[in-house]
Amino acid sequence: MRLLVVEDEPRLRDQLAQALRSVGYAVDPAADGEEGRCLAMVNPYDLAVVDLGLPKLEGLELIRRLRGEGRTMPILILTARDTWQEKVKGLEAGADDYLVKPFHMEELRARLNALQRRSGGYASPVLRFGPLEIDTGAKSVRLDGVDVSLTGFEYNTLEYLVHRAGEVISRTDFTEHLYHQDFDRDSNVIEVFIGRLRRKLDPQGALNPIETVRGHGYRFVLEPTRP
Amino acid sequence: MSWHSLAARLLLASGLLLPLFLAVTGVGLERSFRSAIRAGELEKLRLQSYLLLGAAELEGSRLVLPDALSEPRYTQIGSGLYGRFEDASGETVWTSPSAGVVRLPATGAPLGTGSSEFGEARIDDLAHFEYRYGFAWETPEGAPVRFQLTLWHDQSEYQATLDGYRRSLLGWLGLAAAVLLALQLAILRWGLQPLRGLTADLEDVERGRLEQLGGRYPAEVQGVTDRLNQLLASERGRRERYRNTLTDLAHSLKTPLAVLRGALEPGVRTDDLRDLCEEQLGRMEDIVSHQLGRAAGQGSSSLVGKTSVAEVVVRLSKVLTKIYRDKPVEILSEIPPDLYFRGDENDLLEMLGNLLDNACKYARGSVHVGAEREGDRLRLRVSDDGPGIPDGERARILQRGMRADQRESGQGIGLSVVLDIATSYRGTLEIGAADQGGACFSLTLPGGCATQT
Repeated sequence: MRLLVVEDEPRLRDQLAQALRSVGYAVDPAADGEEGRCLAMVNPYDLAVVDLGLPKLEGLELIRRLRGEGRTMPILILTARDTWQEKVKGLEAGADDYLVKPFHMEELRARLNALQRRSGGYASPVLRFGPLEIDTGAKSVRLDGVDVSLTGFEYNTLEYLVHRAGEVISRTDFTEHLYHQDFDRDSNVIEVFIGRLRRKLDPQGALNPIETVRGHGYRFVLEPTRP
Repeated sequence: MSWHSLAARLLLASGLLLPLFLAVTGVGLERSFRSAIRAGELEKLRLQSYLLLGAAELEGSRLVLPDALSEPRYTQIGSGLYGRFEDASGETVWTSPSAGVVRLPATGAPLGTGSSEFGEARIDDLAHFEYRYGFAWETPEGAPVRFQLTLWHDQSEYQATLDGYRRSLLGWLGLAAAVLLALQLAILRWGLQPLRGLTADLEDVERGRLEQLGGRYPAEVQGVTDRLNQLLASERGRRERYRNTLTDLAHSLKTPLAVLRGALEPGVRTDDLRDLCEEQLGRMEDIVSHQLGRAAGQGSSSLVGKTSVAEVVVRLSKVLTKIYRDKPVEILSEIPPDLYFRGDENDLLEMLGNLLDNACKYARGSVHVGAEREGDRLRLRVSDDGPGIPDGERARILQRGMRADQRESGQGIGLSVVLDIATSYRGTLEIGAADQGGACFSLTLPGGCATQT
């Protein structure tokens, strides 16, 4: 998941970028509203974390402009003011959630997770597809009740496919949404990950969760099981 | 002097009106005086004409006047008073000796019998009054003979009287203007005296010598001073609260700081230190957010406007629906659209925001929010269908949050903020049981209701 962090305080920005990268987000940090807007114009973000009270372009204004340009990714506001006036203004500008400073990184991760899940159309943090169970909170996968051991990249690739289930995801989509900007985009690392995922999730070859659309990319085809 | 000054406006108005009034008066007086002395002049000339007519005699059809006349000015050359008789054909039959070499002006056709005319004429380039009188005498044979008598009197005397009158008129009007202006200034000073007193009182308030505007002010400014007093009182209250908040904040931060300092003693295990830091930092965060919440509301100024309750609830409902998207909570509101809260919008947002947030947190499916007017009292009710709050807990929840360091950490900050703001409006917060089974928070704000108008 590609994530935009707009925060003017350098120490907090670094902490945020580091903490979110460690849980698998591809993070692009921006130091002010203008930079955030420029980045959002060229990159298709899946999530954004925006501080209020930014230099150059105010946080609320940045959100209003992004929404005005038709960007629909979930946006989480960071604010130092714990007042309803501030929350109402932020959410009315188009943000989806807010977090009051100071906060625990755990709390931020949980909120981002929830936002991401909601934007994928899933109400519960645990997604079930027949025998396959994905816990987006714990970032773990179980097959027939047995834990499947996935690496961070493998899990991220799977989660991204699941969040956009039914859509064809191209190689460019993967590199744009999953990896940092310095990633070698020409390598065939995606094929390698998809291959490993298929072997781990479907050892018998009966489930076929990921379909190859020749010349276009991959598609997650399982229908969610309603509890 | 700027045009925003009352004194300047009043002075400008009288500065424009006074000259206008005096000019009209002056012109009127001059006109009526002039027409009076002209009438006097006509009367004089008419008397003179009777004198001459009395002296004249008809000899046959000729008019004869004696050499010596009772009015010496007719014989005195250049006296300024001239007379002339003309017959019906316009031939001069007699000219007063005073005319001497002076060329008397020709007059028009002789006037009809008994009629007269008064006007002006120039003789040797000097302005003169001219009086003509037409008459007819009968010869002993009974034949009428018509004549015209014309008299001229020079205007220098008249002009001198008029000039004298104008001079004295101007003098008096000038004096009147000066007196009126002085009076006007005195009235202004006297009339604006209370405002200057108010300014001085305000300065005293500013310097801290006075607490309130105490004096008696005129009815026109009493409204302003009453409002100012309200503002001063609420400002003072606010200042006091700020001071209390600051002291409170400083005091409550001291405890965790002392704990942390104590923990830095040698021999403490890193793991313990880490836990301790975590715990004390959490405590400090709570203290800070509690005080910030209290600072956010504290705006119970009686001068602030009115806020539509329904509008605030709609905004909050939208936001809360976004926040609780994962939870199927429905916010049902029953609020008359013409119900207004007299006070700060942010305070209402803060109180209702916290109450609704709590309700959504504990609700199973629905939250009810209602508002009603009781006289000038505003009553807000937020209830949920959650587990509710047991009787014994209710008082404890409401007692909490007066001093941050005496408060339990964790949840409940929102409620203490509601309580703080409600108190600043002299309002009360009560907890009861809702019909749907959950908790019902009712907030009563005296004087919190404003009408549409």
